[in-house]
Amino acid sequence: MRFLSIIILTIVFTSCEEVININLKGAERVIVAEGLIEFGSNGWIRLSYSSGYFDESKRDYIDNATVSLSDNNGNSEIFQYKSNGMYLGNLLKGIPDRKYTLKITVDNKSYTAESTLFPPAPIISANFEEELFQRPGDMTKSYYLVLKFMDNPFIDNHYMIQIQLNDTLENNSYLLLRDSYYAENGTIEYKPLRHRFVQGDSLVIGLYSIDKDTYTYYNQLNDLKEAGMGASSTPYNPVSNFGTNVMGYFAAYSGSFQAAVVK
Amino acid sequence: MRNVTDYEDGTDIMLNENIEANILPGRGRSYGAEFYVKKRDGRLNGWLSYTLARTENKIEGINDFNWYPSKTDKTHNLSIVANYQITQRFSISSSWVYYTGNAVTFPSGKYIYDSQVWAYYTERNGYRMPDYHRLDLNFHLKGKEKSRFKSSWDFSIYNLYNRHNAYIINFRESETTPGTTEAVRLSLFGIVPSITWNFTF
Repeated sequence: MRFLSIIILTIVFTSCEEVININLKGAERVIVAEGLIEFGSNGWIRLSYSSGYFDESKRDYIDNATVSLSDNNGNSEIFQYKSNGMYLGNLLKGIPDRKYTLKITVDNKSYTAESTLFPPAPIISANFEEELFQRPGDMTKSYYLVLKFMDNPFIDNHYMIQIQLNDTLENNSYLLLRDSYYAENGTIEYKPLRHRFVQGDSLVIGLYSIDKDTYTYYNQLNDLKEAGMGASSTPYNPVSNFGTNVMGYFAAYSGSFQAAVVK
Repeated sequence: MRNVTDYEDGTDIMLNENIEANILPGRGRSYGAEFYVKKRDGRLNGWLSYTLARTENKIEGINDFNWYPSKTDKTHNLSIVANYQITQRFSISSSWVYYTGNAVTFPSGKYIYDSQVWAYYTERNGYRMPDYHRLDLNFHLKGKEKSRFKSSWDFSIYNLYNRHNAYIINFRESETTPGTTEAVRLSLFGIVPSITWNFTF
């Protein structure tokens, strides 16, 4: 152990980190789509283009696209362009157990994505559990969230959880889970151990029922995020449901929400 | 070469119990030439070796089924070693190594999704790490022989010209200039002097 510590200390003291100039090949820009239809709401999509890696991080919006949304019940509508790449629907509202198809046409090329809207999973309770092992020197008690919600045992369900802490969205990573790992007697009890809270924290928990492809897509985003934007051994583009020539995703989902305060 | 394997895009390497399901087989090819010259005798001796090589894979499901450089592909690999016996007790030796950086996958663009910046990739192993080179130097001094006890000293300098060879290059959002992205090189060992005392009895 002592030997290992010496090796680690040697590397820490002899390594150095520098910002460098590097030439990256200029890639042809691709369409970036960020679309959503939620239970009870109209659909929307924001369209933009990718940019050079070292360019300023601002979006080059697409304002000349044709966007249409349809469901597997024969309903459809054309989205209206608003501004900043945003196209809004005003007819179809998200209904559970329907499959939605979003079609975008840009410069005479069309791309289509599908997503199924699952019913919301009712939240039973959101409680807090005191962390037993405090960090050395840290006298502040911290707490884990224990979220309990209902799960349909006859369907292979996937969920995404977002936590808004004191009015700020915690988006270090997407909290994703599959019922096959957690479900028991039609309920799921989930403890996101990465997130710790202190007394007085005010939370709004959003629990989203998502389909398997949406789960896979956000799981890939998590994977890339944890790998640090390119440091993973096999960096890749997450697979969009619009196909390989488009970045981004069109998702249909429903949410349940619960507010809780750590006491 | 047949049955060359590589990870498919999106493989979760950490704690993946079924990682074999993410390995794709394909073809590989490797070709090149090796040269080696050695001087054995005389006060000045040493050798020079050079390899010119190319190693590529073609695997269905990776890089649009086009040939791409293997991760271990190094185009040039040069090594020069020289020893010079100054006196009977004192000698000096040095080595210089140079090789082309490994083939790696770097982003070719970026995009914003869900208010976050993401890298956009176009091809597998389409870029190179910076070339690696390093000069090491060693002075060897033999101690005076006293009956069975023999000793010698080595005064060495690793990476004499303190080259910052890249160990990893990360791409990230800039901490100092928000709204921009940057490449950050992590290098491990710069110049490292050392002294060694060897003895036998």
